[in-house]
Amino acid sequence: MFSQRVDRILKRSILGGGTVVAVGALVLYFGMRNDVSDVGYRPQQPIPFSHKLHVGQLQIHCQYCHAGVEQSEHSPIPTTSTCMGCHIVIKAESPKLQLVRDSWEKGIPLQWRRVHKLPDYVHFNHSRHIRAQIDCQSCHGNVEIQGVIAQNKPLSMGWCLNCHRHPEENIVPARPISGIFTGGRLPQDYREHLFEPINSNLAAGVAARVRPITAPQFGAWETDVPKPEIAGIPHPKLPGLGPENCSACHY
Amino acid sequence: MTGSMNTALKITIAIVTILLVTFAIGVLSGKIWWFSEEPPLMVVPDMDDQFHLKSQGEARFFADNRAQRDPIEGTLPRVGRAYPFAMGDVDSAEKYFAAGNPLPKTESVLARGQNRFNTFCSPCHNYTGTGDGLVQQKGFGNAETMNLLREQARQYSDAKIFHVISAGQNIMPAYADRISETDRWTIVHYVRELQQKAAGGLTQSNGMAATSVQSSTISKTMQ
Repeated sequence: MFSQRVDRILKRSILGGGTVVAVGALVLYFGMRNDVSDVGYRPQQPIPFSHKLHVGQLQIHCQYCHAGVEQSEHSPIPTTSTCMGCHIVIKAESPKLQLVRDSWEKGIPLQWRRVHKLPDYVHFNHSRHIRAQIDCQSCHGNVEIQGVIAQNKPLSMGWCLNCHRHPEENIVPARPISGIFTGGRLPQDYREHLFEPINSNLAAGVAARVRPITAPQFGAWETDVPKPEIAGIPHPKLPGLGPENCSACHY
Repeated sequence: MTGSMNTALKITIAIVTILLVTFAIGVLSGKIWWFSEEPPLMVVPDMDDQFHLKSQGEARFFADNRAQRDPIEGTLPRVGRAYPFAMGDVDSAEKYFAAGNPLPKTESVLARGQNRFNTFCSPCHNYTGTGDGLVQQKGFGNAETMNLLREQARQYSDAKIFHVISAGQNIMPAYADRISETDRWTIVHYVRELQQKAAGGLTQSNGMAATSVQSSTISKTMQ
């Protein structure tokens, strides 16, 4: 029917086109996964704020600025007055802080660029996770060594479910630097261990309140946190498995 | 000659191909990543961005572009209450809170107090209350006036400590918006305990200067 030459060209173009389509589909499918496309997003912020300096060196706890994360679904970006609490004296003339001073004087909010963003059809509640003593590092990575904040984790549904099913393998237990209330007292000399999980071997028997039991089978966690005696003190919830039903997050 | 050239070329191509494929697999599996200032590419936007106001977000509807609105004047919050006294108005606060600390001094209250104290107070006052925290050493105030264990601070009433936490004092900012009322009272209990411990340490170690502060840093006072 066709000449040999046309036949050869047809065969080759079908082969070549098929390969291109297949590779393209693979690249699209894998390239659009959150752990490829989202991880590493590091926008420049209007103010060169460094978590490395404030958390890593000055050891300011996460909740000093992000106060309210215990009560709120949304982890608050600090108000300008929080910045000015110190910077009205420290580095009061620094040109890097000009925007903060403008915001302070004129009452205009600072426009930070959002780094971690979930789709709008997912409800993530910070306070539930904080009160279950899950450290900020579990989802935000090593904030204390980042000069500019980047997204470290995929924040995809599969990644969420990994923790909900196997918390003992995936989560970082509360560290003192996060300011998470574990229900008990910390040893007086914990300052040298600010960046280590409280219930690691360091604090075993002193401040350890949560320990995994029957972890391999159910990933269930047990706690001996006392019941709150006073209303208004947010006590840690009994840590357990995260829910797996769809309506836990999609409602 | 040409034969060996071809072999060398083929080997090079093979190595480069293997490297490229490894790299591609590494990137596609999420093991290799680099930083980008560009927002993630959304090929299919789904319903990721829906039309509603988000916490601390932007709203073009309002003149100032803020989604978060100020409370309407004359309204009260459902949870908590605004702290009524201004900085320096210690007398009113002492009259109002004359009953002192409403919380019992239990272990769980002290644990909560330690947690809140270390979170909000330790940057300046240090973990033991000596006033030489890491932020203070950056040049924020005078370590001696920030020392919670000094005699003057020990004479403060509970109400005055509560007032200072809530409304601030000198260069210390107000914390009423960030620490709940209950938590501020737990901090008062914890500060009292730190002071008692320091006083006990003083008598035991025969004046081993638990309260004195050796701060080799720049000290700056506002007044």
